[in-house]
Amino acid sequence: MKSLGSRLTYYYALVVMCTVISTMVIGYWLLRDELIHGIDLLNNAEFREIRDRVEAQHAPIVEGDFLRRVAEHAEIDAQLYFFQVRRNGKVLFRSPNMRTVVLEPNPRGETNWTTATSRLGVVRVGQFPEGEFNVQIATSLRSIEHFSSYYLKAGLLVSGIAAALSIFFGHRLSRLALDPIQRIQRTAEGINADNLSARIPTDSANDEITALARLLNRMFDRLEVSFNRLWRFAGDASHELKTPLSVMRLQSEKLLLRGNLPPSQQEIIQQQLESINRLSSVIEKLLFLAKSEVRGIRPNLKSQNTADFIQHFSEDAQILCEDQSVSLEVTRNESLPGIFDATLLRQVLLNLLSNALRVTPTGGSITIASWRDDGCWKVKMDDTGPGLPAPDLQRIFEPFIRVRLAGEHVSHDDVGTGLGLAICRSVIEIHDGSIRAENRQPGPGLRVSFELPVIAKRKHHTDELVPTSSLRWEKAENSTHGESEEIV
Amino acid sequence: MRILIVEDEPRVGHFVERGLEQVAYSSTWVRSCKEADDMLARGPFDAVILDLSLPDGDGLDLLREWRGTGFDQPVLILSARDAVQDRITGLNLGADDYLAKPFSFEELLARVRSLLRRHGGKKATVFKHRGLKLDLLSRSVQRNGQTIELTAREFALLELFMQNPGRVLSRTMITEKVWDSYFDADTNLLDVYMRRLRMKLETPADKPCFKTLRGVGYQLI
Repeated sequence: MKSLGSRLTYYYALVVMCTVISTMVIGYWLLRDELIHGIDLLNNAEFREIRDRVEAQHAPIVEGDFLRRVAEHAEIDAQLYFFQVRRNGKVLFRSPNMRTVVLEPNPRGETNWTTATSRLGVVRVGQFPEGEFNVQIATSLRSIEHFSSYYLKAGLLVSGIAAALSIFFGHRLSRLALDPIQRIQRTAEGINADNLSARIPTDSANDEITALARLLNRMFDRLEVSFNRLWRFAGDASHELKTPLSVMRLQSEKLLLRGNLPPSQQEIIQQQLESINRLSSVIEKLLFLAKSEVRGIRPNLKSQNTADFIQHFSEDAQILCEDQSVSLEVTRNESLPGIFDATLLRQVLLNLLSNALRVTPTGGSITIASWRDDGCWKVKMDDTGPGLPAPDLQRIFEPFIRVRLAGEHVSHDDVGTGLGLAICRSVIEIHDGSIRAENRQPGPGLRVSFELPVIAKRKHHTDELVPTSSLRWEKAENSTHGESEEIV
Repeated sequence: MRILIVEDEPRVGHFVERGLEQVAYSSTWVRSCKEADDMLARGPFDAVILDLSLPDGDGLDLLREWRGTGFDQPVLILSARDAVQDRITGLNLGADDYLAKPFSFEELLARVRSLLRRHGGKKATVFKHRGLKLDLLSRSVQRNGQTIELTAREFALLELFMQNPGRVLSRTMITEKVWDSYFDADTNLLDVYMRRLRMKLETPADKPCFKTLRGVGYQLI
C-alpha cells in the first residue's frame, strides 16, 4: 500500500465492512434464536391444547383415551407437527407422518432441544410430561433453514454494496483529507533556489494541516532569508574581489603594452597578470561550486545528439593529445537523443582530459567511449597513467584536492586550480547524474566514468523530445546568444 | 564616435575613459543610473559601456528601461557580479555583449570596435592584412597568393584576428568567440591551436604573423 490515500481508503473500507458483517452475523443469531423460540411456543401451545382436552374430562387418564386424543390432534395438524408418546421410556404412539423415525427422549432437564433425524431433517422437539406419559411434539426447522439461506444471500448482496460504497466514499474522504497535503507538496516541489518566494496557500481554518502549512511557510521564510543572504554574500564577495583585480589588471596591462619596460620587468608584469587571471578563475569557480551546492545553477538544457557532441569534443581533444604525443581513440560513440547543457558537459570532458593528459606518459593513450546503458547516457575516459591509490579515488572530486603522483609531469604553466574535478562532479550532479573514478583492470591506468539520465524519449503523438530525468525543461528563449552557463 | 561609460568604481571608470580617449573615442564617464539617464537624454551616443552594480540601482533595470523606450544603440555590459547569471539576463534584456571583470582593456576595446562595426552595418567578406587574405564567402585563406588549407576551427581563429588586426585579443575573448564557450585556461587548447596556425601561416623567410603576450593574449601583427 504505497500512498497514504490508498491506505486511508483501505482502512475506511475495512472498518465499514467489519461493522456491516458483524452486524449481520449478530442479527442472524438473534433472529434465529427468536424464530426457534417462536417454534417452542407453538409446540407448547399444541401440548396445552391436548392437555386441556384430556383434563377437561375430570377423570383419571386412561391410556387408550389419551392416545386417541393425541392421534386426533396428529391427524388434524399432520402438516405442522410430529407427535410421539412414551411411558417409562417405551414408545406408545408415533404420529403416522413420522414414518419410521423414532424421536430420542430429550436430554435430562431440557424441555426443548434440536435434533437431526434421518427422514424428517432437523426438528425442534418439545417434551412435556402428562401424568405418567411423556408427550414429545416436534416441528421441522426447514422453514428456518430457508430463512437462513435467504439471509445469507441478502447478506452477501448487502456486503458487496457496502464494500463498493465504502471504497468509493473512502477514496473521496481520503482525497478530501489529503488535498491540503498535496497542495503543500506541490508548493514545496516548486520551491528551489531560483524561486524561494512561493508559499503554501493557507485559509483561516485552524486544523492540523493548516498549522503544518503555516509552520512550513515560516520555515520557507527563514530559508529565503538565509538564501538571499548567501546570494548577496557571494555577489558582494565576487564584486569586492574583482573590482580591485580589474584595476590591477588594467594597470599591469598598460605597463606591459606601453611602458617600454626592460625584459626583466616585463617578465614580472607578465607573471603578475597570470596570477590575476588565475585568481579570477578561482573566484569564478568557487562561485560556481557554491551556487551549485544550493542548486542555484540553472543548466541551459537543449535537445541534441550525444554522438555529435562527443565528435565535436574529440576534434579538440585530438589536438591536445597530439601535442603531448598521446594517442586518442573514441572506441564507441552511440548516437543518442539527449537533453543536456553542452557547454557545461564540454567543460567536464575538457577537465577530465587535461587531468588525464597530466598523468599519461608520452606514447600513452587515452580512450573515450559513450554509450547507452540502462536508460542512461554513459561516458568513460581511460588513461594509461599510473592510476590512483584506492583512498584517493573518491577524494579527487573534492575541491582543492590535488593528488600528487610519481609519474605526474606538471609544467608550471598548467597546474590546475584543484577545482577542475570538483566542477566536474557538480556539473554532473546538476544533470542528476553520478561520476566515479576507478583503477583500470588490468592496469595501470585510471578510468573516470559518468552516467546521466538525460536520454530523451520520443512522445508518440507530438514527436517532441521530453527529458527522462527530473531536470527542469525550459525552452531556450534565445538560441542566437550563447546564454548558457559558463565557467570562466 | 561618442561612448558613454556608466561605472561607479572611480579607478576603473577613469581608466576606461582615458583609454578610450587615447584611441580617439570621445567618451563620457558617469557614476550612477541618474547621471546616465540625464546624459543619454542630452545627446546621442554611439555605444554604452554599462556596469551592473551602481550605487542608485541595478544596471539591468536601467537597460530594460532604455530598451523599453526604443534606445537601440549597442550596449556592452561590464560586471563584477555573477558572470553566469548576469550574462544570460543581460543578453536576454538586449545587451549586445558582455564582459566580466577583471577585464583586459584591449579586450574591451576590441569588443567596442566590433559592436560599432556591427552596428554600422558594414560587413566585409574579404579581409586583407600584410600578405594574408581571408575570404569568408569561399572560406579560403591565402598567404602571398598561395592557398593555405585550414580546419574549421583554425579558420574561425584566423577570422577573429583578421577582423581585429594589430589588436591584442585576450584568451577569454578568443575562446568565447571561437569555441562559443568560456572554457577554462586549465587546458592549453588555445596555445596548441595558435601553434598549429603559426606553423601553417608563418614561413621561416617571413616575419612572424602573431605575437604572444603572456598573461594577456595574442596579437596579429
